[in-house]
Amino acid sequence: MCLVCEVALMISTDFGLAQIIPSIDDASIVAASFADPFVLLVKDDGRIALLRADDSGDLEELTINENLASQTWKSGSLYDDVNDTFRLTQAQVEDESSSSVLLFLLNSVGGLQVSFEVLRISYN
Amino acid sequence: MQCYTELTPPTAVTASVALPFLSSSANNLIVAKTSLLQVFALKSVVSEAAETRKNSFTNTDTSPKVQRRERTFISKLILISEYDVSGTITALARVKAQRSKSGGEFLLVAIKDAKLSLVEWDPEKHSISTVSIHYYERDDLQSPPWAPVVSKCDSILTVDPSSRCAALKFGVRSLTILPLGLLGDDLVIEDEDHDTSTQSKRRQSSMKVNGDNSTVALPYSASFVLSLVQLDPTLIHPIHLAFLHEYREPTVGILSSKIASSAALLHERRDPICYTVYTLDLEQQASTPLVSIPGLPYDIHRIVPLPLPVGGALLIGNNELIHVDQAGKINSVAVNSLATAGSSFPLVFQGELDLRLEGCVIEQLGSANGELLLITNTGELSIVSFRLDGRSVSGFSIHTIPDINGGDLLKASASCASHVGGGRIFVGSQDGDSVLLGWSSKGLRQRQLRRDSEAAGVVEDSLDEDFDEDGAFEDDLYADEKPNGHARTLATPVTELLDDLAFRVHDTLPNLGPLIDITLMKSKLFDPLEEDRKDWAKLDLVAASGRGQTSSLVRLSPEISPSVTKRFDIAGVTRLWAVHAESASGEYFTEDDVHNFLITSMDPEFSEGGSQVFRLDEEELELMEGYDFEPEAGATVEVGSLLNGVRIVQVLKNEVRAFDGGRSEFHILGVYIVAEHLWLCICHAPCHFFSCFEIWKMRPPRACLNVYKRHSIASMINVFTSDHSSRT
Repeated sequence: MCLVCEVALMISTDFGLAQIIPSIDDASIVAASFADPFVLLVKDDGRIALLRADDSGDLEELTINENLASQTWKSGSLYDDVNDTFRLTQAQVEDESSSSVLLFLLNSVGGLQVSFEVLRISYN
Repeated sequence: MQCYTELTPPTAVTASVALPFLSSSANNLIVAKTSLLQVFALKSVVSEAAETRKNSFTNTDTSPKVQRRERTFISKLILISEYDVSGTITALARVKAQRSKSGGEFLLVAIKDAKLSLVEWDPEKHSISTVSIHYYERDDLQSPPWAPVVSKCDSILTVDPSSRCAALKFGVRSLTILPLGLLGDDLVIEDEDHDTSTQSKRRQSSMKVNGDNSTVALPYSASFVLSLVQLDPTLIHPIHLAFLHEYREPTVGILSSKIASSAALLHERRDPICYTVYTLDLEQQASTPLVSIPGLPYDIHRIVPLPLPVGGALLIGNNELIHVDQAGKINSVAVNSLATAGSSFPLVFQGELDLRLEGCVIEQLGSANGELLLITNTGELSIVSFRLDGRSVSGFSIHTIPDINGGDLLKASASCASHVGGGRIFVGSQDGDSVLLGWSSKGLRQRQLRRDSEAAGVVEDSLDEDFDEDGAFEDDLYADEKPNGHARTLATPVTELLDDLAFRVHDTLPNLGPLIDITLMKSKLFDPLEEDRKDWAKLDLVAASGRGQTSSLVRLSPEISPSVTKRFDIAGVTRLWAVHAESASGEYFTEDDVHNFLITSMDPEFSEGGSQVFRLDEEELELMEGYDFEPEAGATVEVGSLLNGVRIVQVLKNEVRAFDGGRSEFHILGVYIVAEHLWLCICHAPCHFFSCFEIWKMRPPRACLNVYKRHSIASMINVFTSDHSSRT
């Protein structure tokens, strides 16, 4: 005999701490920008840090290439270009390694740098 | 001097034109709203919504592909840029160009009273740039003092379909011809070499404004103004003029009359209108009449030139339509019973339609047979279809579109219509919203389905294929269009096209409509605690707008006035973020993306500083304490969510913390009582644990914990019933 009754109980959610990532150097973080799954941190000494969340939600820090790490930045923003406003050529094949997130950085002398293919920054 | 400020930009569309503007392959729509010029691009998006209108072709079509396919492609108008024009735009026309900065075509803008401006797109500046301005309002061009001034007369702009020249009729009967250097480039250079004397004489007598035309780089030549009676002494009262298609030289058809037509004098002045076709020779400034048709009904007011495969021109009157082909052969249809009362012109009677063609708009449908869409001033849609006998037109007929197929989609009269390709027509309106209409017919849809099934099976945009004018005769001497690359399909027989021809709306441009009367009212701010605020004295404008079916009340407010539903007092908050947190396996309880947590950064002077997290329910805001979130860690710099709310990331001054937004406790999915065992299905992302109790003793879970990943409940029941006997 099999009796099936269904009981649904919802336990309240809570904020379970999953991960703490300390800042590597002593610089304090001034601003941050989010674009799933990337996080951009701008520090007060002009450096930037880029984090990426993998499928399980753990954040790992990506290494910035020389070009971006050597300059000082005042501000930065991540933008998910779903409508291809800035990317003039669409990716013909949506491969796993391409991402539509763009990185906009403003350096200390007022120049604007736009980086496409944010994921590839770590491979440079 | 006028001192005013514009509160809202104009929204009523007065003119439109479709052309490749941003580049040679772009598909752009340029819309003029009196003094605002907007450049649109078209984009196809996939829409999941089912069609609300019951189209007969989706009902009766038993092909399984159509029923399974629920996605439809909708075209959206994307605004690229807009420009304020000082002046009123009266007409827009496209001009093909050999050289332009963007590779696309030029736009010719006619501005009240008699100005022309040639405009192109500059891709470097991402904006339009003016190529030239032609101005004809000089005093010595004006007519004698007893004639109406230029501002009181209509101006008519027409451009040769091969873009050899443009003509503007302004004033009472002044005509200016602006040669556009497309095909005539070489000829102009040759003339300059041979005959400089006549050229210089022409320059002195011509009314050009913008420098000389000796450089070939300019896309136009000097324009010249003449009076229409110089062209032909009988053109005393010009009514309309238009350049015709498929002629070797620029050829213009002119509707005019020797005596002014009047409905009151019908018994004396019957059928005074005359339609004449002239070929223009730009170098000699001479014209040759080709076809002349006198005795047209008094209410004929427009010429619509028709491209291949129909050719010729369609003359529109208030009660009749007359088609004149290149040889002068006439076919005419009367659309209501008044036509025969007002005219002795021979007409085929189709009066049962009872159409009124005052203020109507006619545009190409874009089908292979050259059908036309006729929009009356009440917004009714009809199709004008031609019976082609080889190359000549043996007759034409008009069919109204029933409401079930979209005949009632337009609620107001149209001011302009432009065919944008791919079975879509933009209909602009001054009395209501402007719409982008799309049409499709059952026959063409079926052929598209057959083609899709033969292909790789990828569903493409069903409206884009073969709806353009691909019936062009490739051996036509006068044909200017390039033959299409892809295979030509047979022209659809008329009956097949009209079979379930259905319209639907792709996109609309909202229109505040003609504002008829305006009054002021106080803005509302609904907040039970704010009743005592006396300084909330904002005023809104309320206006009666629209005509006929588009009548409505419009309320224009300077600000958004939200209605406050709840109010919570939290002291010392400096910054605030709202996030949505959910568990990784949210498939069982998928809620909306409602923000359910508030993270605040506190002011150190009020509280201890740091940050707080609050849970946000429908009813209350509750401070969460005792969880992993540490208020003393510091003030929050930024908060964001990753992976759609699975991880909440809090950026502090010195570190980055990631929180698990999901559930850390179990929640019970189902309870199964199988014999003397109680099975509890518990869900914890991403694994499911099942524990078994003995009902009598209710002991805690024993060792038979089985982990099943993401099974459905139905399959779990099967597992239990089969495993029960093996387990004890």
